[in-house]
Amino acid sequence: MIVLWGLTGDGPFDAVLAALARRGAQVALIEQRRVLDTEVELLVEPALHAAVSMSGECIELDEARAVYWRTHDLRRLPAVIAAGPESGAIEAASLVEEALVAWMELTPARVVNRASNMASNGSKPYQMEILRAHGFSVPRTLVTTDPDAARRFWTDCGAVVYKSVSGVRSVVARLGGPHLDRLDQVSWCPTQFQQYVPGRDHRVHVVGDDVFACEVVSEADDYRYASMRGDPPTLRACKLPADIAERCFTLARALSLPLAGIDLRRAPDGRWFCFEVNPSPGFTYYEAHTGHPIGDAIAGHLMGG
Amino acid sequence: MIVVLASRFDASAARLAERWRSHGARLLTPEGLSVRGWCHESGAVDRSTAVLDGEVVPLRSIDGVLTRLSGVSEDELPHIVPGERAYVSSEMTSFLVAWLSSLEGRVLNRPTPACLCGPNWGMEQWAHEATRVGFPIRPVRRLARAFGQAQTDVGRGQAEPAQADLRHVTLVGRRLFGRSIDETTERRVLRLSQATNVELLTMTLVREGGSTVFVGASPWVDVDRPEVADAILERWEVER
Repeated sequence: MIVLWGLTGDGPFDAVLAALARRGAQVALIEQRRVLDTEVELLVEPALHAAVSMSGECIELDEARAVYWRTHDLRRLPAVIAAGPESGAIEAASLVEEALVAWMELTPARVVNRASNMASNGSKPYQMEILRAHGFSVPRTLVTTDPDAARRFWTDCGAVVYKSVSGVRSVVARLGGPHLDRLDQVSWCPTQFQQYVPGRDHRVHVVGDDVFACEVVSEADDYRYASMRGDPPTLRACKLPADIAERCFTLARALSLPLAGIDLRRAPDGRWFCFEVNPSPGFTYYEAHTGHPIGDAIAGHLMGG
Repeated sequence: MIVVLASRFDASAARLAERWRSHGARLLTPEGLSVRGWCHESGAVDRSTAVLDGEVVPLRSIDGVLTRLSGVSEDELPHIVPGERAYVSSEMTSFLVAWLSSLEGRVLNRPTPACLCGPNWGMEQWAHEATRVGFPIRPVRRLARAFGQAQTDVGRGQAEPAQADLRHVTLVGRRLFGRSIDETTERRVLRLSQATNVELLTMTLVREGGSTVFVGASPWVDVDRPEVADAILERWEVER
């Protein structure tokens, strides 16, 4: 049995579900929308036993051979919103999710991906050191509360972007003249500045033993938001140099991430910079442009391939 | 210089910093990150600086950091406007993960990306790890009920041992404090520390049926005990 936990209607989640159906896999679905009707029991005695029930429908998690999960912020689930902020629904839903995450840490089943292995993406400068250790070029990065240090860094680097330190999604933006007046505000909170690296973006998805590379042609500093500005990027399948593909594979393996979305940029001088490893990538966006069978590869991995 | 990284509500940490004053100890709370002068440059530790008690100090002058904070919560940030607290707490936590990691062996406990003071484990995972190093355990049961039914219940699925029967053992590096334990148990405690990469650990054990049984563990230690505080200092001196 393969357990899927997430929201139907979410692109990547649906893609994995459909691919598993095509392959005839036995799937147990934990629909996140039903979190308020969900009960989880977990027992370590020392053998591990776990079960989920949703309105009387029971899933014996001991039978799980693999798990794929891609949950969303539970505070935005319709049932949780409807219950109201003072109802205790958020707390109850959090406890259900914590129990499932705890189970995934302990189960011998294949998990795509374990929360503890995903956590490095929660601190970009921390993850940056791992990327460097795996032989990728990484941009000079300064996290500071010192406006003068930020100005010096800007002068040294020539062009600088700023982005969140944490996993909170932020638009990567180039530091410019209008920011000078606001730079003093960095003294309230450590703020991350990064040398701007020109070049061509690549998104690489590693799924088990497979590596799928996509080239992104865009003039935007952050191509993910380029469409909103009326300049959509062009995405196409590409072939990576063998050593870079191998490096991506090794990196994902070292992070214990059977599924990883790796952000690379090839600089004009030929160096490959690595910016981030996303442990829960929205791969369908890339799949739609490249035809890469990423969802199917995930299904294959879950089924033991 | 020693840094005690703690919550602004942590009175034990404040007392410890005072006790270690002669060793140059400084107390750092999350409010101390909203101060001009912090610089953390990836791959350039020699250029990195911290701000402690208002003084900008180079990273190399820090001999040890004791972390008593799992992450930065919004409660730690009364000086930040309410609408920004969630974002700032998340950014500060992520910054501290990177900063503490850059100090490598000088930090007790070493951070993980999920928790500033060691692994972010519940009772189940500690029990699981204890089993792997040979401990008999008391079963751990967690029941997260559907909304409206009741609260989550994390327990043992059997009668709890009487408080008087529990033995609390504190580990600092390879030194043990607390009730005396047999050699086999001591070996298991040390193996658990090594396997989990946790040097500061409080473990709760109980004698049952002629065996010492694992009840629970936590990376929090009682630093109000002078012998524990001294052992932490000595651990850094050994490293130097």
